[in-house]
Amino acid sequence: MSKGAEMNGSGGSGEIVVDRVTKRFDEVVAVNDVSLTIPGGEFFSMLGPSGCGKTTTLRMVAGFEMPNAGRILLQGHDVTHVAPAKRNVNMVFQAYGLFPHMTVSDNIAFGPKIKKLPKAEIEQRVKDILHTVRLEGMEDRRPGQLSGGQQQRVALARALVNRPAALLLDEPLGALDLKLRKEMQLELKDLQTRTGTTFVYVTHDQEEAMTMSDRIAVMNLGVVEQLATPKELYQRPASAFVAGFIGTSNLITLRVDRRHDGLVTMDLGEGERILAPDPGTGEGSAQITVRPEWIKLASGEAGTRASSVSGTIADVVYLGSVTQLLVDLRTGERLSVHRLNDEVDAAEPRPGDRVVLNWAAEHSFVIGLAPSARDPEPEPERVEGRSS
Amino acid sequence: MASVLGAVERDGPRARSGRGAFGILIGPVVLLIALFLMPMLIMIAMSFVRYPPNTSSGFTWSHYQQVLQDPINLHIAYTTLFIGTTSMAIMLLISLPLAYYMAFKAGRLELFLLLALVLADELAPVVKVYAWQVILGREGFVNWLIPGPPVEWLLFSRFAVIVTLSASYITYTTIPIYAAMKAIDKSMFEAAVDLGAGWWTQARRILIPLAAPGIFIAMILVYLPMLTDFVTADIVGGTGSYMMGQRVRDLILGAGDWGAGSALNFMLLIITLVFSWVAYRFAKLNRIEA
Amino acid sequence: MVDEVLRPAGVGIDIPSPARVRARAAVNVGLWRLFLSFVFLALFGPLVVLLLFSFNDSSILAFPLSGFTVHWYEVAWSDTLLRLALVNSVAVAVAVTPLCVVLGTLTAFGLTRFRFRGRGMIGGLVGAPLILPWLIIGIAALMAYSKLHVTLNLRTVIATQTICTFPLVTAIVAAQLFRFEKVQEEAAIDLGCSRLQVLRFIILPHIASALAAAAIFAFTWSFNNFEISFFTLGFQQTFPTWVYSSVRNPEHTAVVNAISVVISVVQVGLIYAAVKLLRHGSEDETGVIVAVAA
Repeated sequence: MSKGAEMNGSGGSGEIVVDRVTKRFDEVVAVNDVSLTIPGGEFFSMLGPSGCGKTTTLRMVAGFEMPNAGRILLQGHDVTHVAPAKRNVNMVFQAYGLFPHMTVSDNIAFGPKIKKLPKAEIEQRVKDILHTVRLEGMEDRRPGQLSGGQQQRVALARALVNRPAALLLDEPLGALDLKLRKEMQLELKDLQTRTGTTFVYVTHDQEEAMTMSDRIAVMNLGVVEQLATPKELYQRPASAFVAGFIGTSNLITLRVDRRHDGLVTMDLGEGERILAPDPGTGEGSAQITVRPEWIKLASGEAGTRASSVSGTIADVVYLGSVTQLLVDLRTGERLSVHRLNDEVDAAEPRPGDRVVLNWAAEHSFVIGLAPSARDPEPEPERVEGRSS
Repeated sequence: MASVLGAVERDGPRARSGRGAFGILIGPVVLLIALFLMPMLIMIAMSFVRYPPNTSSGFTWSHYQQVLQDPINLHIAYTTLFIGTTSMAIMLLISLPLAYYMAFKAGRLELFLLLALVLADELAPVVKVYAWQVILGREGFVNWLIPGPPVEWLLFSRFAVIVTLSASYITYTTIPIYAAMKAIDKSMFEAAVDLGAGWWTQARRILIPLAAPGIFIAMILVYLPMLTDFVTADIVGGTGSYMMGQRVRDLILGAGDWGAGSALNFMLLIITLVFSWVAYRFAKLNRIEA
Repeated sequence: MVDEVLRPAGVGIDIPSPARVRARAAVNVGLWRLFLSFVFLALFGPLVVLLLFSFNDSSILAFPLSGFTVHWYEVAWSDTLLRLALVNSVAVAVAVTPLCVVLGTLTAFGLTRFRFRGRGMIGGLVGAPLILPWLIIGIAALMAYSKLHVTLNLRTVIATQTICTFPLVTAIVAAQLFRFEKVQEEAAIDLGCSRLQVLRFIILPHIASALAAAAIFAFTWSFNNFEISFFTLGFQQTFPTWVYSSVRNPEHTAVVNAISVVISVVQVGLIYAAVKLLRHGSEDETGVIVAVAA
């Protein structure tokens, strides 16, 4: 039985608990009272814009930063004040941090050597991991002679060879080009499934997080805005920030004119209205989000449980599989609408055309009670220059 | 030398607040104090002692009065400044195009030129200076090339000192300027050309302003040793090129006048510090962070 | 609607003939070549002249050259004063170099890897011997030694040269330490290294070639140093002071030529090795060399 397996202890669960952790840098609060529980074997992502505290949280789990308050638990043990070298987690750095003066196999064998594992075992492990990350034949190269994707894999191998309870990845694909990044995303997910290691993944790329993660914590300004599965995040964003950060989204302020049948309604006159499920609480108005692909161009009379609102097309953007229409409503709001291009040479709407938009009431997702004054919207869809 | 100062300005990787720093730096710092700072202080003290090195003879300003009132010193200061400034100007005329060539045009030659500059600089200065004696002498290389009777003023003259100094410090002027130019984004020139700028406008409005930090550093590196040089002036200079470095040396070693010698030396020290501080400030002010 | 300000002004292109473009390019290349030859002449011309004269069959330094001889090399070889001066120079440099490497490396670590009060002051103190002219330092040292009744000999030269040279090592090593990626150190710690193991396995290999290069530079600086030796040496001679006193003696100049050529060739080899080492230590080929010089 290997030492690494012993270190994994308690059934190799790899559970990580971040318990009410706060981290300040001078006067700036980078992480504010964050709590997370990551069960063993999960692919967990922390997603957010730069400066949201995701990397700081990761570095606290790794031991490179000390929290000002709160605890970090690895497999039930409090490791808040344990040195990084003594925690059985390993990190993959954004810049890789490969040792340029060592060969690929020396880089990979570095951790086991430091831990003084028997020579034969080190060799076996290096061989196995090289196979796992598909780098056979590269043993004697130096990092400088490898491509970005290969360096990435060496960094992964160097961390995984220690059989860590959890692997911490700090934007590991940030330096790669788009195509390679997509390939590596699938490879990483595959690697995680095969090894059963807990992966804690930090990224600012929502698509990347959605592709790989079991669960995602969306962070902003040092707090977790929402922790959910990718699907939940997309369909049920908990805040305007999450709605704006995950995919494109329309934010509409809904004035509550009527409540009936479990719906709230804003009447816009001439039979036009916007509906949403009744959140049950609140007076006056609510903020709702509608995904662009859920909005249809009306082809007939809308059902009673559907929003119906007319507008003028401001711009038409061809995106390949879909066409994005930007529609100005009479409320002054601009909606983004996606039309699936499932027919060749289908008739295209043009800027200036008047259209009626429909969407089911359930597709209006209430994300909160709207503040009385209009707050700046996060990540608004902006198209420069109106055509007159 | 700028990089030592630079080391203080930037934070190293993983800069730690450190008690460890004390243990690491205590040795070098004690040695610097004992072997560098203390001699400086002794020299400064000597410039105020009435009959140096006898410290019990009382303190006086008289050495400074004497140094400042002696018209010879003024004349020497003028000569030194003239030689230094002329050489500096010649060097800039060589170094600016050379640095430009290395930074933007040399291609594979770039490294070779850099190597050549470093090599030329690290060879024994005394030997290099002496070689100019052979070139500029009455029966030397230049006079052999020039038809007619030998030109006398080539050697043991201000001319010889200026030529030799200019040639000796090309490395020190070129490399800082080259380093500053290296940091310039090439596309800036393309943008300038695209906007219709000719080569002179490019040089005056883009190249020189952006290379300014390097030029100031070069001035620290070159002006100061030139102002205190005595080897070059001794070997290829003549009566018309008696420089400040020689004056200080002769006061101390020749005349044994420690008072005037140390006073003059201290004044050079102050000039050096003020000059390099000002030039360093200018270099920093003019640095545009990429 | 196009904004009036942005309306294209019409295109007027003035195309010079291809022949003129080619001619101008050729003139351009020619001018640069001429300029570079001039620079090389200024840099290395003097040494070439020395090389020529060292084989010249006459003790008078005059053009044109007469016959070929290796006589001056033989004279130089058997010159006892010269030999003594060379031995002194080498002895001083051999003592100064390791001292400088140790002191310079310590200082580089202290200044780059720690933040503490007075860091700026210590940085200034370390940088000062590089900025202050050697004449000033040499005279101050001379006064201090004689005031404190320290006998001038090789030891005093070694002491003062060390103080003036180790900041150079600091500059070279600090430049390489700055180049060091913090993430490598973190990766090593993450993989279980103690501080000492990080130093041994990661940082020392990173600066090893810079250290070797710094040692070579320190050696040549010490060997070439004239001013410090001149003021702190007393009655002995080093190679530079020997050259300095010999060039005034017309009967000696031919010997100076010969030995200068030998010394220069050795130094070219050493410096070339140092620059190679610096390049080896970093991907950015020119950066370190610049760091050394600036």
